[in-house]
Amino acid sequence: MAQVTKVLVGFKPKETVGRIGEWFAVTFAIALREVRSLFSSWIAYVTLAFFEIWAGFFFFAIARIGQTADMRYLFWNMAVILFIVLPMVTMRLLAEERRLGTLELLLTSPVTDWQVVLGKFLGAYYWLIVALGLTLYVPYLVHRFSGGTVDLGPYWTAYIGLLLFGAAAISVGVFWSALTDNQIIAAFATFGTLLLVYVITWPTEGTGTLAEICRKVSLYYRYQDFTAGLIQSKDVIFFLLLSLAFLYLAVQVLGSRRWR
Amino acid sequence: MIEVAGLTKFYGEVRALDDVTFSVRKGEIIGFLGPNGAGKTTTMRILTGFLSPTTGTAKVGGYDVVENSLEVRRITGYLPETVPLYNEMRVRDYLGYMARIRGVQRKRIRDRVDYAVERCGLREVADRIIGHLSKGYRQRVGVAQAIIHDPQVLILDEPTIGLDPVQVREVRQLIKDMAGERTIILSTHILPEVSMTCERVLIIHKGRIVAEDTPEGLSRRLSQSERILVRLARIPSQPLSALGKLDNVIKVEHVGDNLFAVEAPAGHDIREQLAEFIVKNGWGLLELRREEMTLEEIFVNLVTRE
Ligand SMILES: Nc1ncnc2c1ncn2[C@@H]1O[C@H](COP(=O)(O)OP(=O)(O)O)[C@@H](O)[C@H]1O
Ligand SMILES: [Mg+2]
Repeated sequence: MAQVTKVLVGFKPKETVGRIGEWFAVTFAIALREVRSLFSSWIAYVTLAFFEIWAGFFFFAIARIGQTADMRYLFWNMAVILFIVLPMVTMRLLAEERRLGTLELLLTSPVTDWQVVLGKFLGAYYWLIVALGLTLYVPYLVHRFSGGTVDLGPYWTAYIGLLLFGAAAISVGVFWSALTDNQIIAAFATFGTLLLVYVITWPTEGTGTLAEICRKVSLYYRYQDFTAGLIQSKDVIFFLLLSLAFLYLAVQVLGSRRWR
Repeated sequence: MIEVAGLTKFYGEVRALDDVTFSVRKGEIIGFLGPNGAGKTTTMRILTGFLSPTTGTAKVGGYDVVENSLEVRRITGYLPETVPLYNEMRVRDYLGYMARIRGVQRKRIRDRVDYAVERCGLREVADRIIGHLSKGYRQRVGVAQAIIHDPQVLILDEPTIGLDPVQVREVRQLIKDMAGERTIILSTHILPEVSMTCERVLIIHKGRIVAEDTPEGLSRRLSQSERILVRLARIPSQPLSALGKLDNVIKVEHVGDNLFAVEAPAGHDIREQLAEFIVKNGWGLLELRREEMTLEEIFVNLVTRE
């Protein structure tokens, strides 16, 4: 009680805002270092190249051969390519720090485990933003060559869907990277987890409890709505909660080392 | 500044620390001495909040390392045994980053980095990539990151391990220079290190503190016997047995070409008697002196006595 009164009486809005700002500033510093480190290794470029080449291929195939501006198939495949390459981006996040021993420095600095995990998440998220940013020629070209007749709405919702889907996938990666210091295992475990939720998508067709459950838990099923130009708050919340859940688990894993 | 009471740490079934209690005053440099696997790193990881103790408490600057971990980490600088560095970064960027996550205000970072670079003699390599640095420089970068946020407490885990003798001397000097301004705990399994840098030594063995004293005090307290070294000009045919027959002589050893060590129980000064005997026999006494017990011997002594 005394503590509560102290907090209430001592509440200074400016100072509190300053402290929260500092909290995020340090988190961003961790993220920025991760970005620099990621983009100083070949992994960032190989994964980017893989993503862009496949996305480009699908775009070309749909636009030129299919002669259509319906890009649902492209965005669907972008999600599939993401689940192949994102594990390679996320595998190093915490595993690499553990291997180098720098995790010991990070965790003995006055930063919370949440700042570490969030910083790592944001570092990998930057890769996602770059990867998606490099595909923006798709709406641009479609707009240009259709003379503005194509409604780009579904494109933008698809991008929002990819950002949400990517957040969940990266969180899964952060979690596995916290759990093991073997990057290969971290990558395969992440890939396996994402594959599992992909496979679950198959029985979503039809009726019955199984299909019902699968529709509830499948990332891809929910993502499909976005590619159709539909943003539903329950889907948004699902992706955000799922991301938060895996980040929370990663924080728990980091904290558990203290007792081992 | 540091209060440790009844610290015990189990790794599963393995007991790494067993009821460790000690305290360090503000501004003191203490040495944590023990063989590999003694529990030095474990103790330091608990003090820095990387691990939690199984039982017992530790306080740094009045803050409990479990309850107020963040406060402890704010006032503590730590150099882990493995000297973790990001190899792809440049020294200055790395120190700037460490300053940031150690809670240095953004506008003060440049000053702090300059200070640490200056202090640790890193000026010529400040813009080099860490992965290209020699081991000695890497170690100094490690020390630099530990002092970057001007911590009151400095915890250095085997700061001179793996360095060549010149580098060892430099790093030791660096640590000594910081004496007084900060409270320092350093660990080592190299014995001369503590007598050179520390005011007080804690000897740890199998997770227990087995002795605690000043380096000199320790050697005084523990010498149960005194060794007198004598150098002779002419070596007689049977010097060992002849000297061994003298009163109060426990043991005679031939330690060098013409150097002999004569051991007597503590408190018995046999020097006069020894000198007379050698002169009387005409062996040509070149030198006679009392040998101080080295920490190395004390250590072996303590550990084997248990
Ligand atoms: N992570 C760990 N898991 C299991 N046992 C450990 C771990 N770290 C250290 N130990 C054991 O604890 C004991 C003390 O180790 P440590 O504190 O590293 O000693 P020192 O630093 O003095 O060499 C050793 O027996 C070591 O094998
Ligand atoms: Mg050790």
